[in-house]
Amino acid sequence: MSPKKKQVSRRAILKGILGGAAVAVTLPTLDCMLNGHGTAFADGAAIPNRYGVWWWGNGVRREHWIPERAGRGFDLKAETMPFAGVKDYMTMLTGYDVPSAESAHNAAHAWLTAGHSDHSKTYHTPGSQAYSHDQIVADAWAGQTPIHSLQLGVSRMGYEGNGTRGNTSYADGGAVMHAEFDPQSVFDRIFVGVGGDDEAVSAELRRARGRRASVLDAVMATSTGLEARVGAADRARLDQHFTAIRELEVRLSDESMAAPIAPICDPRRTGARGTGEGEHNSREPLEETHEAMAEILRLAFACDITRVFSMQFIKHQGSTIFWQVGTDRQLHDITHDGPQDLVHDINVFMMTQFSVLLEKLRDTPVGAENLLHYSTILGTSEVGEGSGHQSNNLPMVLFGKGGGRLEGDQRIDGGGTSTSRAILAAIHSTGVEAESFAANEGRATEPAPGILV
Amino acid sequence: MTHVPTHPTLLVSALAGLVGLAGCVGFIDDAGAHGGDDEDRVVHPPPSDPGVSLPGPRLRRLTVDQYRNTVRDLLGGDLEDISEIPADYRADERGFTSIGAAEATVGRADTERFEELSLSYAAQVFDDVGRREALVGCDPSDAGDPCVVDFITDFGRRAWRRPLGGDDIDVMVGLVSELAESGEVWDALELTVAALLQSPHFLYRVELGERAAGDSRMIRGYEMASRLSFALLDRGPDDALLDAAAAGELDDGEGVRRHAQRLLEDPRAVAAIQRFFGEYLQLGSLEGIHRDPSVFPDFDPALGDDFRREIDLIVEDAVFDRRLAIGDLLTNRRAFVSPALADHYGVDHPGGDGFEPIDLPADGPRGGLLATAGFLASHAAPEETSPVKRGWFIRLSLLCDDIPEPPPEVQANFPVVDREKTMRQRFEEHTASPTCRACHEALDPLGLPMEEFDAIGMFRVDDRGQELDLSGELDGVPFWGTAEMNDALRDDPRVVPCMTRHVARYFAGVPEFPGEAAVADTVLASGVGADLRSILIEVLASDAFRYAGALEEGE
Repeated sequence: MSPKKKQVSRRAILKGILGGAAVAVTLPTLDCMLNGHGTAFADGAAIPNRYGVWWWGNGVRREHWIPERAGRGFDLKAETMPFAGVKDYMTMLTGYDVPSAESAHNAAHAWLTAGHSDHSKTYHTPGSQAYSHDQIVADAWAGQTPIHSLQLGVSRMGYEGNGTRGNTSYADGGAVMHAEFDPQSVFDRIFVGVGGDDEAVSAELRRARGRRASVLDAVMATSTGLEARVGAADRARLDQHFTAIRELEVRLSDESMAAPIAPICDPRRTGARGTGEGEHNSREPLEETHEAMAEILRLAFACDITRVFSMQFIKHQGSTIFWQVGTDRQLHDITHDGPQDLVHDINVFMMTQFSVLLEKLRDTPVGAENLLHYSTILGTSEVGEGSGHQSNNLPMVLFGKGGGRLEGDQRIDGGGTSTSRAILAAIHSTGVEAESFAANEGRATEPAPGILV
Repeated sequence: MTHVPTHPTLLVSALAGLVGLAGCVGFIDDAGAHGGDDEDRVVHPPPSDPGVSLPGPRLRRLTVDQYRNTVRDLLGGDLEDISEIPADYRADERGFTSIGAAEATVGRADTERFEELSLSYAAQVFDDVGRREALVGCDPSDAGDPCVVDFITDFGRRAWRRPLGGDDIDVMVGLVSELAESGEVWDALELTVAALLQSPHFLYRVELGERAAGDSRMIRGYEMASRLSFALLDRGPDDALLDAAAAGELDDGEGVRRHAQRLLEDPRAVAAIQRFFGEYLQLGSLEGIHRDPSVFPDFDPALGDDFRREIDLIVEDAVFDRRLAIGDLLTNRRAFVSPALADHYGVDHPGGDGFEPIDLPADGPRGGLLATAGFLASHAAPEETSPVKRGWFIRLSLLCDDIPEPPPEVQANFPVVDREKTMRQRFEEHTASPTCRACHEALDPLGLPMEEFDAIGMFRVDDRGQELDLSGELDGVPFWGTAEMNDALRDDPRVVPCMTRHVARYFAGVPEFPGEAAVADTVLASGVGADLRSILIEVLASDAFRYAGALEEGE
């Protein structure tokens, strides 16, 4: 018996890439689907919201961050000036404090999730109560889009090498959700894999997808008994893994995924590569990587492939080298014993990158509005200033209007209100009415006042 | 398209809906498929030291090296990785990957990557008629051919590090049958191999133990075969070790000791011990090392690979060939240099263009692991030395002292640094400050004597044009310079127990645990040899490696 001659290379079947044609999976919101005002679907259903967090490590320079004026028409300072083009969508939050005894760079665990992190004596992840806000929203929307949520990262440089000190996303039960750092790989994973220009090829691809689904079915059938034998932390990890397998199986089995391609969802391959393992030290292509990630997010939002992301631009206590502004030193070190003007330049550079994503969303129409209108994106860091490690008055800023639940062009001062309550307000701005956020001393059951319209 | 505001805990029902849509997920409970793990009845003896409190058992995701090695052992070495293997997880710069493996998850992206990799590995083997027949061992005529079951049974045992349960075999044979209905049996077997390789039973080390008295869990049998093999060879167990497990040879400390000795004779054990030292000495930043070109204009980052290679060769020589006592690792003057590294060290290269052993001068400043360029450069900043990082390593990793994090009032008021001053001048200001003094008094006298080596590990005689003051002391014992400090450390009674504790953490894959010092004492009281290899074997035979705590339930 000789192996059958394969029409399509296995690699092509795996990746679904044929003759350079990438095929996307769903339709964007098209005007013909909407009501006459472009404010809802024709059947009256609301246009969906999106949620995300854009994270950076080492805080800000407060004198260049905190506005002088309150309320509508507040003033931008040098480190928020990059947001001038999206100020109408900006809710500047000042005066919110971390409600936890955890301090310094470890505070991120505490205030993003209120899980405890006794990182010197036990396993590092913050514990079973950690359940990050982005995941609360994504879980509430589970099943409504092909991809549950994206966890993305740009700089691999942690504190001293590529250790994973701090993460931005934790699943229900506290399992860490690792970020993806390579835009090309993210792109391939979420946009590529179905259909084809040619019916014979499409049929072969559909068959291959069906067989992959059968394989996953067998994997699950032999796996589920494991959960009963492990402790709580492992159960949370397996939950995350099994959920991923089931979701992949659903996607592979879904014939409708071979829907015809819509022009807006036909991205070219990004061509952008993130920094590889081991090449993290000195010359990371931060702008290119982030731009590619931002474009992926724009497309994924536009085509409703996912509605939730976390983006870790640099890591907690990140020692990224910002060669783009002319330094060879590591950011974390500079914050403590370097020129604070240089820290400022780096902060402006980072916020400029953030604005690239925000402007892309603003410039992508959805009916009468745009993607940013239907988004809530929290920008934040783990400390007040890198030099001082303050856990009060953290940098927090919301972008987007949550489909109308946020007014925009507002500065709201919390006067010492907990960050957890501000985050609960951000969650509610998406329409997800979570009853609480965080645990222990950080638990909030009421959103911070004044943020929601 | 409406979305109903949903409380997060409703995730479960949302998922159930998702699965229902798929209409093709069948669940077969495989509890009891593992033979001999009837939780409530099997009671093993408790750990010998009641003061030892180990964390509960954890699934450990295979590290990148373990995954790569094991796949190649199973399928034959000639394989291409078509995408990046999900990266190892390390808590921070001091974190061991073996501990991070107990926290690393397989999320959506990782799941797809492991799927893609496993399909690709299987395709690479099954596209080659010779390779696939060598792997499967027969030429099955159809899905019902008895050799299909034989292959799944045999390959499955090696892939999952234990015999498959009857239910598992049924599922896999069922998969072959299903796939063969719409294709050839070879294609069906190919995908079945991919299924076995993306299973959690392959991707995680399932070493959960069995109930022992005192609420702890004993690891034995096939689980111990897995634990030993991954610890010492960074790969899954071979048939010989699995057979030994089946024969009960891994069920007590003596059996574990014997097999550990055997595995350490395997040349592949060298790489696993080198990895331990690489992580213990925190050498990760040497790969693609970056130094500020305005300070080190002639530094070639490729030298970072030589730095690392030298330490690997020192470990092989000192631990395996000469079996030096642990303390002597700090004063050992056998170095291994490439021509470039010999230049860097200011010594003559014996000739040729590779690494060669040399004996450094007995009265020179360089000698021992702490004076390798690799250690010195990885404990420095891109632009200058870091006495804090160097002193911190000695305190925490060599002496197991407890240095508290800087108090909040210090963290909020880091002093402004005058970078024109020498390191010692800058640090003297720290020790003058009452809030900074506590930590700096512990760190500086160990970090500053090493100022004779710069941020790329080169010997120097001045700092910013000023003559170096290399005075230091270790808890009252004064010394001058790195070599005298190394002598003091070699004789310090804390070093060997501290190294033993790190060996226990790394090889058992657990964070620091209560009773760890007692484990080290027991190991060292057993008449064990003074070299790392001997101590490692005793650690593996000890409670720390053979037991886990009770299963941990969440709050």
